[in-house]
Amino acid sequence: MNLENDRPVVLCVDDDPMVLRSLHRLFREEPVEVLSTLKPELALRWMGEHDVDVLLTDQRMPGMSGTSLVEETRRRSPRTSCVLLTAYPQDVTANTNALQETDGLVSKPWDGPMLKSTLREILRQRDFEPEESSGE
Amino acid sequence: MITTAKDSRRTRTSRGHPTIVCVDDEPLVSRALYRLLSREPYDVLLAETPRQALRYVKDYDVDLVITDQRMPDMSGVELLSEVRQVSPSTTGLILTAYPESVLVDDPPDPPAPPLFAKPWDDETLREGIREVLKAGPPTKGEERTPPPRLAVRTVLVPVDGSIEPELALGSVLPLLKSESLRIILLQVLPDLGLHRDVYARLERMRRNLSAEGIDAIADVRWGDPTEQILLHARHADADLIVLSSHERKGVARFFHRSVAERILDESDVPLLVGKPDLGVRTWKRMLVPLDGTRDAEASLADALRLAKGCGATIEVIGVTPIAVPVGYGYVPYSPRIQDRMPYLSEIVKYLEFEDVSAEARCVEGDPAEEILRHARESRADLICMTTKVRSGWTRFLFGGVARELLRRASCPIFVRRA
Repeated sequence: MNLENDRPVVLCVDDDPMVLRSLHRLFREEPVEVLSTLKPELALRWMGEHDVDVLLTDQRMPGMSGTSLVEETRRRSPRTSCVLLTAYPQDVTANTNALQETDGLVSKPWDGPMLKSTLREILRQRDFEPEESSGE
Repeated sequence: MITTAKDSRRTRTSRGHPTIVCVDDEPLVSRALYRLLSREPYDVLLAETPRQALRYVKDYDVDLVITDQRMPDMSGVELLSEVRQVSPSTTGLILTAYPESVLVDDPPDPPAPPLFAKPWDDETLREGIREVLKAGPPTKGEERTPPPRLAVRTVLVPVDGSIEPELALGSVLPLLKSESLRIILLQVLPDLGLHRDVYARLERMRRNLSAEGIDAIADVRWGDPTEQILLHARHADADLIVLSSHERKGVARFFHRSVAERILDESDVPLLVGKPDLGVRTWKRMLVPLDGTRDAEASLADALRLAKGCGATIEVIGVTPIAVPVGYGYVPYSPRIQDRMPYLSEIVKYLEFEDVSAEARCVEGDPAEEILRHARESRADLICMTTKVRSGWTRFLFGGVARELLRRASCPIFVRRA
């Protein structure tokens, strides 16, 4: 049972419940804990109180864009790796600043195995980083 | 012509069945009622006029008077208030083709008798009669029995992988904290199969709750979410179900808008619908909407218990509809706010007697809109109310209203079926 504990937490944010549903399905056999929300504001609130290892967010959402969610996450929860999911990659690539902030950019609709390997790669890189990095 | 269904013996029949008097100036209606009720374990007396019904009530030990509203020499509402004078142990029920207009033309004194629409649905009426008989005669003011304690021990929290239910639970926990709590986290999955991350999440939630000293267990079921929630609530004998509202568009993965409504329709377990975006908060003001019926008053017991736990003020609010739809048109209604106030003041006295600070307010207009507006303006932290599934003006007032509030209120709602 202890094996089930302390898995990396992946928080998925999308305003479309069907997308969240398929992300849950996609990652259900991965060694992670998947959480989801329809609202970027709730994601920020959550990250203020809980550790999140990877944020997986849609770009176009009402209320807050994925890139501004990523920027805000950088400020509030620097340890969280951010991946943008977008059907319009040109939106994001035009914004070089935002691109620097993200750890990954995945186009929608995604290729399942590819998204999984992106996630694994990000988690593997995190494992090499010192846990409490005081200096970069 | 007087149709006496049964030559009644003095007072109660030897079989000890409840005695029902049916009054309608239309013999066909009386006969239909008799056909319906004579198959049930009741002794039925048919009266053609309100006077005759009153005579029966004086002469026999009558449990229930079922009356038409519109009769030549006396309205159903008038008859029942006379019945109450003569025999306080007799309860009443009004059958009317115009349930809405009874409120307008002839508002009954609270507590108002249940109204049933004519023509009736046999099953609904049979069930309604059983309930009315079970509930017994209305009580007023000082005769009121002390509220049953809202012993919240087992709380069922359906979770679905979204953070909304967890945030909502976090925000309402302080409200329940005073109780000795046991929380069941229930995840309903659409299919059998490996859902490793689900177990990881449930285990984390369970540990977090335990860290706060709350006894929590996690459970996974498969199938239709609402059905499983209902089933589990029954098996675990849950005292409360906590859901998160996802606002209007809001739907989490497996939840659809109707989960709260279906739970209310199909179970008696109270529902606490929390708001995930509110965060942990203090509970200072609770709003209790009342419509003069005992059904609505049932929420006072819940509000009392919750308010005592956290020192909140209870505000009772009576909403008088200005115009109600009748048939094809609208009947203008002269507001009778001054008539509602004594009733609400009596409730306030009762709450203060229970050591909870209380206020009363009357407003007029569309009930849902007014309650929502008032909750916003008074910064209510919780709306506590009942909902009725079946008939009567409670359905007109509170059936739709509760659903409207569940969808639109900006504060958490505690709602139970009346």
